[in-house]
Amino acid sequence: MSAGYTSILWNSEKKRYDRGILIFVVVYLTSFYGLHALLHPDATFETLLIRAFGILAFFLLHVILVIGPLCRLTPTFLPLLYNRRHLGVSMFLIALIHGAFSILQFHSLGDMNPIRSIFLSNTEYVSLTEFPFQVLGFFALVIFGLMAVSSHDFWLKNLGLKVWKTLHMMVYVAYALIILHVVLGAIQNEKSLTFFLIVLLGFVSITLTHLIAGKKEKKVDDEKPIVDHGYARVCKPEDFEENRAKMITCGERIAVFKYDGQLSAVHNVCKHQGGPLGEGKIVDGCITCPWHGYQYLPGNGQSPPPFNEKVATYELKIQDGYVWVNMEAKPEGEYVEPLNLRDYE
Amino acid sequence: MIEIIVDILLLLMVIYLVAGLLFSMYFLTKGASKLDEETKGSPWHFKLIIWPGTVLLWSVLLLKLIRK
Repeated sequence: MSAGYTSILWNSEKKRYDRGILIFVVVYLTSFYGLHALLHPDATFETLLIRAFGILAFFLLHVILVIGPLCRLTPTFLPLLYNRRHLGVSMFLIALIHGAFSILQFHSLGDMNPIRSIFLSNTEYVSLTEFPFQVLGFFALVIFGLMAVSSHDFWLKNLGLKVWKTLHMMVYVAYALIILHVVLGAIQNEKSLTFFLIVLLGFVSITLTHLIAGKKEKKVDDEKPIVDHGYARVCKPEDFEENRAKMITCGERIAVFKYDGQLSAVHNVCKHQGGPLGEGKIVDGCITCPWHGYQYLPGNGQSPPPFNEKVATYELKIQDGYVWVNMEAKPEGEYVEPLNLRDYE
Repeated sequence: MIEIIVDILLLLMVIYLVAGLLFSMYFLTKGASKLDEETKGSPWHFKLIIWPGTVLLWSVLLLKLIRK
C-alpha cells in the first residue's frame, strides 16, 4: 500500500512464504543432484545445472499460472496467491541461471558474440526437428525479465494499471514460447515419451483451470439482479456471513460486507492489482483484499492512514425483508452510513 | 539475410539499453521524484530495486515525464 516506498515490503506471512520457496528450491536441487549423481554419473556439472534450473523454472511457471484460476475456484489456494510476485521473481532468477549457463556452455566458446550465436549458430528456422529452440527461450526470458523488473508497486502506479496488466499478461506469450522451447528442444534429444506426457499434462492443467474459472466468473456476471428504482436486490440479511461479503454484478461488481451487526458496500475491485475485494474478509475492522492484503475501511472505502487508496462506496437499504444496494456509486472514499441490521430486527 | 536482420536487431537492442543506462542516471537522481512525489526520500535500496526497470522501461517513463 502506497505511503512512501521501500525496496521490499515484508511481513511475517511474506517471510514465511519466501522461506517456503527457498526450502523447496534447496530440497529440489539437492534431490536432483543426488538422483543424477546415481543415475547419470557421467553428466557434467554444467549440464546438470542447466537441466536442474530449467526444469525447476518450468515447474514454477506452471505453479504461478495455475494459482490465479485455482483461487477463483476455491479460497483454499489464496495463501499461495498472497506473495505470488516473489515466486515470479524467483522463477525469473532460476530461469536466468538456466539461460546464462546455457549461453556459457553452448554459445560462448566460439569466436562469435554469444547473443549473436543464439540466433545464428543454428539457422534451421524452417525445420521442426532442428529448430533453434534456444531463440524461443531467449525471448521468453526477456518477457520474464520485464515482468520481474516491473513487479514493484512503483511500476504499477507509474505505468498505470492498464499498461502494467498488459505487460504482465505477456506471461501467456512467454508460456507459449517456453512450451515450444521445451518441446522443440526435447525432440532433438529426448527419446522418452514420459517427458512429452508430463509437458502435455502441465499444459492441459493450465488450460482447464483457466477455462473452468472463466466459466464460473461468467456465470456470476451473467446473473441479472432484480432492480427497483435504481436499487439492486442483494439477498436477505440472514444470508450474510459475519466479516464476509455477498457480491452482486449490476454493470460494476459491488461487494456488500457484514461486520459488527452492520452492512457496508464498496466497489469490488482493489486499487492495487484489481483483486476481488468481495472474496476477501474483514480483518481488524478493514476489508482486506485476498490477493495482497490491501485494506479499506468499509464505511468510506479508504485505506487506513497513512495509506491513500480509495474505492467507491454505495448506499444500502432494507426493503421487503431484502438488502438492496443503490447502483449509483458514491465518489471514491466518500463516507456512507453503514446499514445497522439491529434496527431491522 | 538472417545475419543482417539479427545484427540490426542486436544493434538496436544495444542502443536502447545504452540510452536506458543514461536515462536511469537522470531518473534515479531527479526524474523519479518529478513523476512520483512518493519517491522523495526513499532509501537507496528502493532505487536499486527499480534501477533495472528504469533501464529496460525508460521509453515509457520518458513519455510519462514529458506528458507530466
